Amino acid sequence: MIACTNWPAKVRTYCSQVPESIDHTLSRFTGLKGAEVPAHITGLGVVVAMSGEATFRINTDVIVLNETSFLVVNKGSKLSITLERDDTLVALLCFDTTLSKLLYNGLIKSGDETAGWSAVSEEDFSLVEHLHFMNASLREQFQLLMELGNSCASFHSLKADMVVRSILDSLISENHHALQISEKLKVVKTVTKTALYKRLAAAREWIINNCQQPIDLQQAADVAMLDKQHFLRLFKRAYQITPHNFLTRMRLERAEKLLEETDLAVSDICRAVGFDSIPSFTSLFKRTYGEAPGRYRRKMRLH
Amino acid sequence: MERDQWSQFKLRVNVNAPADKVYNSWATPGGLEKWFLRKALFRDKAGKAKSEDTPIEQDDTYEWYWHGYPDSVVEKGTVLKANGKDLFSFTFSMKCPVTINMYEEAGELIVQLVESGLPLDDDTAMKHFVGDSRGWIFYLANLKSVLEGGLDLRNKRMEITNVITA
Repeated sequence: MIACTNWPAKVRTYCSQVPESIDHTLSRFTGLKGAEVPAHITGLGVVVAMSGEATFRINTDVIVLNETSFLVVNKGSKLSITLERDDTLVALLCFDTTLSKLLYNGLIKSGDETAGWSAVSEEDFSLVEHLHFMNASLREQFQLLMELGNSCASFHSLKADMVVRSILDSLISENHHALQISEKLKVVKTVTKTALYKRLAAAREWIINNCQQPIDLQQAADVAMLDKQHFLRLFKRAYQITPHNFLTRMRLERAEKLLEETDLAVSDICRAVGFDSIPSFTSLFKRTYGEAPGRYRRKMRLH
Repeated sequence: MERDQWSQFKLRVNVNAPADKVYNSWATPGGLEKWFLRKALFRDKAGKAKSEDTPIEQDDTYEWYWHGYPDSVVEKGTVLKANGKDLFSFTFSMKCPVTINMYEEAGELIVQLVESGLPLDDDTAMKHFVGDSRGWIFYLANLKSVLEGGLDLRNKRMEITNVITA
């Protein structure tokens, strides 16, 4: 069940300690430009700007959130918000404290006993506490939650729980993945490891979301706020692939999807995914998928 | 009401239809889709998906999808009992068992639904009791409607929301 509440009233009740919740809560915040939610300690959650733009202060970071992005907040983080436009609608989904632990154990521990988890890492989502690119399904899920919160639909609380569970599953899986990747950085100091991971993750997401553009190593390093060579080394160490090869892989995956799902000409797909040269695209595609693009499409459609 | 009386509820509906037809409405994937779900996927213990008219059995697992909602809204659970005749039971919301019994009373078939094991903590007791019982009331009424008159009352249009029929 989602208790749909307006945010400021809620904040006053837990301004200085981590809120323990046995149920999920969805808090909404709207108002005129400049309206603020004062600094308070938050539980584990996801924040989206359903419309407009808002500035978030999480611990020492300042993050601007708009409709193209969402934010994960870690349990125990200090959070404040300022609306940047009159039409801004911010929604924070805070997870049931117990469920996140249970799901973690069910999803991760049962399937992976080799990762060497510490008791601390189970509940620490600081690695994924950063800006993420919004995806259509998360936006749809938040829209559904806002509707279900005060709905008379049958089993509305059960349906809301299903949506929340789905979001939490993804978050736990992402955190698990982040923990594994960050370990590969071989940095002893946790604070440094977390900071480096977040920068690399931001650059990686940026590459995914801009792969159709002509981007280069320097731009990706700038997103990570790292020196170009340092970024290259760290990215390769963490993800076991160079940024350039990662970019190529993303473009090819997008091309494969377009070949399967659309009737666009191969030359149009080549340009749409960010390749300049058709021979180069064809050659890379064939090397990866074993067939030239046109032949691959025909084969897929036969199946 | 005593506190522990919120831990379960019982609903009964009289249905003027043959017992085997009513049982199959609960215990086959295709039967469930006629009055309850948009899509009912059942798998046996080996993980093999069941076809729409294959009887559901104990220990089968399910994924249920709803009219009016995308596939991200999915309920997963397990079949606890299915005797092939008049008893069908499964886990539902919060893994609470739901038990369906069918028996005759005054010449009609009574379908009795009991959902038990509902949480009793102050914050969530009411929401489970009220939310789940309210949901089942509509669907049991729809079961009767579909079996007796062929009229399906469910809202199947995505653009219509916040209605009791979905």
